[in-house]
Amino acid sequence: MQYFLQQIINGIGDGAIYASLGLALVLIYRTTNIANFAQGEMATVSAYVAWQCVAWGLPLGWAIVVAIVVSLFVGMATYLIFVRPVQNKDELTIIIVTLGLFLAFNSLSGATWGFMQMPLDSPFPEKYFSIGSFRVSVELLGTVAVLVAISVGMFLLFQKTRLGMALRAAASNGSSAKLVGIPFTAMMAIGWGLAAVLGAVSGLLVAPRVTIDPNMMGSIIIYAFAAAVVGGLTSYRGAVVGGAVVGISQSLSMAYLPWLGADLQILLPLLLIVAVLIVKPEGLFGSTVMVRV
Amino acid sequence: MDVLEIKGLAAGYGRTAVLHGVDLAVPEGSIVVLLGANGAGKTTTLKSISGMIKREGQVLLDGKPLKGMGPDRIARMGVAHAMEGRGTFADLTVEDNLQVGAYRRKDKGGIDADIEQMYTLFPRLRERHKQKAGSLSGGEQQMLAVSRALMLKPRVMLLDEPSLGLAPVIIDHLFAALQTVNRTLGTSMLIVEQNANLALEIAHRAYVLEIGRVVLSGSAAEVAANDSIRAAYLGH
Repeated sequence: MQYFLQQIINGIGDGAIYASLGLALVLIYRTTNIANFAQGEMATVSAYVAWQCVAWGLPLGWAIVVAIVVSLFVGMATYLIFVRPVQNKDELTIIIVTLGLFLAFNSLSGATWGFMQMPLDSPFPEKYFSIGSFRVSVELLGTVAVLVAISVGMFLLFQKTRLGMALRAAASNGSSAKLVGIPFTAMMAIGWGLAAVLGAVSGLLVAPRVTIDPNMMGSIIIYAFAAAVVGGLTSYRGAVVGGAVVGISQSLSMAYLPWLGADLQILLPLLLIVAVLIVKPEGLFGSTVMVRV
Repeated sequence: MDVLEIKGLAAGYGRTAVLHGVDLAVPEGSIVVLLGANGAGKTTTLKSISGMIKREGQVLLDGKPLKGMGPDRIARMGVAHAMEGRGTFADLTVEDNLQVGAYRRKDKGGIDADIEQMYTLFPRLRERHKQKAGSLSGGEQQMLAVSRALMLKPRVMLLDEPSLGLAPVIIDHLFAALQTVNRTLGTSMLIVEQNANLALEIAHRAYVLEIGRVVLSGSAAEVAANDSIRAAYLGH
């Protein structure tokens, strides 16, 4: 029983990372109706920016701040330069563009920083708490605390501020948003910028665990998509719960299904996606989209 | 003084020209109705005023040209356009729709007071203020669309087919409300309406559009008395 609970605790840490990247996916899907396959690679670039700042002698805290600010602008620029011109095209075109961005950011990382694995320190001290017979690392608590802070921040932004209301309105109905005076393009760019910031946070949480290389987010973006889809792709709450579900199930499968091996563990989130989509096509928290014909 | 003045307005979609030089004016505090058959260019006129489509010619708001401005800037200048087909924010609550409508304003107290006023005007909206706009009936959505446009505290309000698809009782209520708003707040309105009888009842001035040109204009009473208009639009 204790072993089981310990696996769940471990899973929550991974789940929080999937959730923060999943939140970025949901944010972009809700504001621009696009599944951004490049989100993970954008996060990798953010992690490299932090690494570069540390290499130039900046303290880690400032490096993180710089990486987050740079990500904000990279996200906005990505929307304005690459996404906006195709936003009203058919879905296939948009998918090709975000896949192209995936390759572009991946190559950008490789070309700029090479394919060597670079270490990045964790912002959290390497300590453990013992609660009863459980061991909980400071890193895990910190990761969860970051996710909670992000969630509360997003809630306050969207529900309590004028900017948040404008973002929601622009996502809900673009032409009506313009007609009440909301600068639509700016809102879309801010949406992409905020998503890039969320991605950067996940990248900065992942990097200390696995060291940075251009493909560091490769499997994590898949888990994040699993989290977002399990949660319903339009629901922020769903992405957080979905992240926990995927993280915990992954941790349990590693503990109890060791014969799957490290490579096949990725099957589990994919099976979860399929299962959820069969039983509840709109996801656990998603809303059904009604199309009038 | 005219709140809105339009001179030689030409517009269309792609290569298809719809408007060929429309002139019209909305005097301060008045209701102006734009009549015409399907395809005459009524909706296109409203869309080109609010900047949703490209146009040539002059559009002046309080004497200032709205040249080269996108729809969001024109809205911030004080033009509220309630589109046909309602265009509410379906996944925002009724109350949030009204809040968003006041996006260009900064007077928090005034906004809250105006939301209260909308609820007084349309009690159904108060009952449903926490509901998502997408779950409202057609009539309620129309009330919401009009209220949201009013929340902008517009210099001029453009209404496209406000009666479309509504039950007669609701249409009467809506037009009575529009008249109340016009009288109490002095909001100037340019209304496109199929239901010419009803529109002429509350309007001060009327324009008749045919194939992209104004063919007749005058006070609402004059236009309503015109024989060819009576035959074509009023059905008697």
